[in-house]
Amino acid sequence: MSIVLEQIKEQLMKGKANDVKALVQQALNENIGAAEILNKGLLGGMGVIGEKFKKNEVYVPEVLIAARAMKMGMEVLKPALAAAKVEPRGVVVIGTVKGDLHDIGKNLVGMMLEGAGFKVIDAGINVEPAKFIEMARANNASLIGASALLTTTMTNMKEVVEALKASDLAGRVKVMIGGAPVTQTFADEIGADGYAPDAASAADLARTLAA
Amino acid sequence: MNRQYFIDLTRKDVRVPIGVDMILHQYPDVDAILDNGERMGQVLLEAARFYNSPIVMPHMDLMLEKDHLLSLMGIPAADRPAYHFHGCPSDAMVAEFNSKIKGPLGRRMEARNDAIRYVATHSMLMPMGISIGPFSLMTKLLADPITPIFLHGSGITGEDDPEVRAVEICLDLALAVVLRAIESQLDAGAQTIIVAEPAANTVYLSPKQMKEGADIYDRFVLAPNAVMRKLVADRGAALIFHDCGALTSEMIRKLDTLRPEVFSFGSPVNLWEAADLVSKDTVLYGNLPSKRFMSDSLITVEQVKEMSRDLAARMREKNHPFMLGTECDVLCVHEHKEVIARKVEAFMSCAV
Repeated sequence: MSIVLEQIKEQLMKGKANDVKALVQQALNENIGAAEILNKGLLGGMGVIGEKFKKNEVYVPEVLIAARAMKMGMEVLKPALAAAKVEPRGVVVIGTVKGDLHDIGKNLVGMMLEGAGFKVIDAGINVEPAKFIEMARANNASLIGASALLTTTMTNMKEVVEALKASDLAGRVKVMIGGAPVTQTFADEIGADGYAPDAASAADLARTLAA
Repeated sequence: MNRQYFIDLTRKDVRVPIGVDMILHQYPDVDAILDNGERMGQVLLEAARFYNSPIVMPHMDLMLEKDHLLSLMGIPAADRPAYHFHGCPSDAMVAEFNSKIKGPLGRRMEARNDAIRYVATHSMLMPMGISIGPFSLMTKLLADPITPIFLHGSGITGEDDPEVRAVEICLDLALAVVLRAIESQLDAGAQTIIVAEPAANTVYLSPKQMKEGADIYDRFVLAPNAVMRKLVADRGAALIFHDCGALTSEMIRKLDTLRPEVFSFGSPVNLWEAADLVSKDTVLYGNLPSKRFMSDSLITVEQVKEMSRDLAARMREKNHPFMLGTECDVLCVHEHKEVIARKVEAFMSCAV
């Protein structure tokens, strides 16, 4: 791998946003392909961060700061990616379910999904089931990610699953769920396609469900 | 109110859930009750008597202080629950806040105070107040407080970076509202205050960064809470410090410098391990995993009893003052309320 791609990866992991931005431009100037810069530099760095997060070697703040650096790099890379017709791995609509205003977990999942090469459409907080479906349809999404932080709101995840099953997107779009009170057992009970206990696992799960 | 009172409760095997929500939601007009101090006081006493508790747990609503703070800055009521500042609050907003902070409280905060007055004048039980902590309140005011906290830990100051400055300003605003909320409840007769800092955990503050020497926990959690702690102590009241998130040993040791009378930790913390980290005369309360009570597939009644026995035995072994209870507010989930109630009853009555 070229030295500059290795440097992008290293500086992204340290959260050095301005350095990542400059290094991505340098890589483009050296005629390294946009897809290679994305996959080996930016996503490569986020992949390492994701693995470290799963092993508790780094924590949410380190993930956020790395994602911030990736975002700065992507700002420089986007035009080149568009020109090279590099497509995202898939489109995921994320949101916190109806009645729930918490967003830190959802935002973290969004960053990890972007770090895994997905295009993320953020539906926000307190999202009605119909809105999840509508946004998935409008954006040609293959996945919906629903989050809840309270036992009183996680029951609304079932409504999202049922709304999807009753829609024309049934069979084409899958639902994964997560959040502090959520469990695999609960996911199985409500018929969700998957459950992830943390943001890094959510990215892995998305890769599996989107395949 | 001194710490010996709580230590004596532990010797009497007093057990109490943070369970007002379950009693409150037996009534069809919850919002009307929350707006009416006398009715709320009646519900609080009903809960205390139902749980056979000498202490009257308050209703855990951690949104009141955010709502009040934003009302002082002219944010419309409908916008307040999800409102985040984009960058630093403006000088004009801060000036408006400062001109109104000593003024009237919002309707629900006044009702909360009236409920305390009702308990104090209609029973011999101990009235308690509650507030969200300043750090956790600050995190509700910004879309991403985590990144600027990390930047501060990396040596970037509020003068260098507007995001860091926004955290500093919001923390000051949060502390002012928390102090006002607590003071008003003490004035109403509260003898103990629960301060809830659910965000003072490993999600918002990196243990890795702390280990590398960053002062983030001291700056953003301990410093404002030390001011709160002094207010409570100066008024002769007791402090129950509640933090239900994932905590490291270092975080628990640092929180112990606040010297609360009681610590209430969530299920991510093993209380018998926390016993080695906190003062010997600080009661440890909790911490059955009540967030899982809603489903038998998550935890059964028998498992609740087993966990209660195990926890009590481990704490006896540690010879540390301990009160069996729940990791957080036992929320009434309507379709599952009987299942939840059975588990509360199980830990309240099982032999330990």
